[in-house]
Amino acid sequence: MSMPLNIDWLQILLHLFNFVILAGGLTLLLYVPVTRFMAGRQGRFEQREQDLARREATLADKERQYAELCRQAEDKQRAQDEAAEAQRRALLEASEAEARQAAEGILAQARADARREREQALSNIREEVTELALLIAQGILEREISAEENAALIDACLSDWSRQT
Amino acid sequence: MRKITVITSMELTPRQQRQIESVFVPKYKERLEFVYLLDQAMVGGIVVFDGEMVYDGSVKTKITQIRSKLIHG
Repeated sequence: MSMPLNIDWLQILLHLFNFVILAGGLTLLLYVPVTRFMAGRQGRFEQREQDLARREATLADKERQYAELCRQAEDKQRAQDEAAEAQRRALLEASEAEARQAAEGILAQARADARREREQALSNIREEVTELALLIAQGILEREISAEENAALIDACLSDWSRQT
Repeated sequence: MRKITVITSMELTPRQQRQIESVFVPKYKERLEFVYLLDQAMVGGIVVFDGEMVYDGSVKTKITQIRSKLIHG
């Protein structure tokens, strides 16, 4: 049986068979390795992406930790600064109070000393004036006491002593 | 006998001596011997010592007492 355009069914079958062999060979030798290679490569990329994502997460976590540590350090530094300032202020106030107390003590001591010296001076003056007055009085008595006055003194003493019995 | 010493700045008259004896004789049950002494430093007044006790009525002692009161209050 003759076909138009000299087409022979056997040749067609052989071509089909050739095509099948070619397709099978290409599939086995090229498509399968290439797809396997592509799948492996995709797996590696996905693995890398996962690693990258995990590293980014770790990095973000470390950044958060770093920020938290920085905040804690700042808080701690602020607390230490405040404590140091409070301690400095307390020391300053204590020093001022101590100095004020010492000054008041010195002032009180000076006033007491001045008062004591003044009283001592007044006492000395009073004593000297008294001594002087009595010396004058004694001198006058020594010079001017008469026998009658002496007799009157003796009478007064005897009168006192006789009453004592 | 007890000795009574009487010290004055001026010499005592017999009347004054009798007056002194009349004051002191009743104080004691024993006999008394009066000794009269002069001391110009007394200024005036009289001091009597009976051997145990001094009766001091001298002007000098009074001045000393006044001085002590004025100085020490």
